[in-house]
Amino acid sequence: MIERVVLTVALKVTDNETLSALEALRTKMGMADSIVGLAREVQWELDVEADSPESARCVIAEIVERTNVFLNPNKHRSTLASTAHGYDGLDDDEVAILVTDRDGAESAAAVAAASRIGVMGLRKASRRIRWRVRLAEAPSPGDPGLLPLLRRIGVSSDRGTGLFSNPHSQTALVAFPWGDEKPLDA
Amino acid sequence: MMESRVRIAVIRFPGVNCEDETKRAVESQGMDCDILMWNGPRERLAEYDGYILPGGFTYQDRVRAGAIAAKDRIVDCLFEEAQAGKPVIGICNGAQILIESGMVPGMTPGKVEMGLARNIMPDRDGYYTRWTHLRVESDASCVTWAMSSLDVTSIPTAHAEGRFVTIDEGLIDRLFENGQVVMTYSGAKGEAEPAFPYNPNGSTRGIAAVSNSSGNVVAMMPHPERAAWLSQVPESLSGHWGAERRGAAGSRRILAEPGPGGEVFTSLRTFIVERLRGRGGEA
Repeated sequence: MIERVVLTVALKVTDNETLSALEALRTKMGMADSIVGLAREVQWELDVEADSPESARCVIAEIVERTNVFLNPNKHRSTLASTAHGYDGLDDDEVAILVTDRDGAESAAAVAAASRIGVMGLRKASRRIRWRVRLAEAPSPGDPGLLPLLRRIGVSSDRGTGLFSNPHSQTALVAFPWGDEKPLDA
Repeated sequence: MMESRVRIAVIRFPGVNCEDETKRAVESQGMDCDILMWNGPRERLAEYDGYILPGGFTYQDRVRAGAIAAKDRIVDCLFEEAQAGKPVIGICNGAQILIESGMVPGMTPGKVEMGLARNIMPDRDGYYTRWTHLRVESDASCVTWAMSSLDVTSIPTAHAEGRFVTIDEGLIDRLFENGQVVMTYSGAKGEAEPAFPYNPNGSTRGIAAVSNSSGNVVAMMPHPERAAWLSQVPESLSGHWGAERRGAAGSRRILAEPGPGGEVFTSLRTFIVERLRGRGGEA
């Protein structure tokens, strides 16, 4: 039986990648009036061969505890769940932009790495980056300018706009605090 | 009347690490070269005949290789210089910047039309380096101006994100038809579309370098500055350049002669002299 476990990983030390991205958005891309904060998480959806959801979580917990395949416990904190939505835990003034590589090359490598160290239950892994974007004005469902703004933040379609996703190699979703998700690619 | 020497600017973004050897390779082909900081005075750029974005890890490859550097203002300035016909070469991380900024392939200038995705390799992941054989697909670009189509050369690659991809159906065919695919990975004798490790990253149809439609802006993943002299070629390399290297063993004079990457910089100089300045030496 295949059970799914979602492993969410974030740095507990300063996330320099997020600082660079925020700096680029605010000063190089003219978003200083729109974006006030940024955070980043890596979400792994892991399909595990196990008898029950609990034993699947034990397999992943073992990988997390004993290896550096998904994280380094000295630098990262992590949570395990059976499902995860892009909008989980968002504050009212946040949206999440979720970026996935189209081919998932790094995901196959994670499965192979786990297998090489003797963890045989992991069957499939898929990875996405969850950028939590804190906006200057709280988003609202009726704002016609919201999706275009988020595309200018998230999708690199033109020189000077969009940072998180190159649409030729990645896909992007946006999740809203009111519990909705939409494709962000134009 | 004596023609003034060609002047090239190598742009040092934070995190690049190939600027010095790129400068040496440019100078070895009879050009003058300066290394300019990415945030220096913009007006200085106009003094140069061409520009190279060297390899490295701009902004530590944060978010995605080349993604943050592509948003720097100097890229807007390079875009304007390229519109005037001046050559801009992006090598490896420089190529990633040109692709992320939409300068290449530039079918619609400024629109991002391709990506350089993570390598796909059997039983491997991440960074990979090896000498590659390259077939010249177009001799109309500023990096192949002194070569001929179907020539085979050998230049090392070293990257984790070098796989040319696009979701634009038909774009790859159009690039081949327009002569904008400059080089492809090949076998030692120029065999097309080889498998790994000859195609080191799974790049679509083996593409290793792409230009804009004018051929003056080129994004190339291989590192010609690491093959500028024959002494840099490994004796174990197959093909023409490996044989040249083995034949030169023990001769310091021959080993100091240009290697396969030297042809790229010769091409840059002749492109500028013949095409940009005209044969009369006019700027």
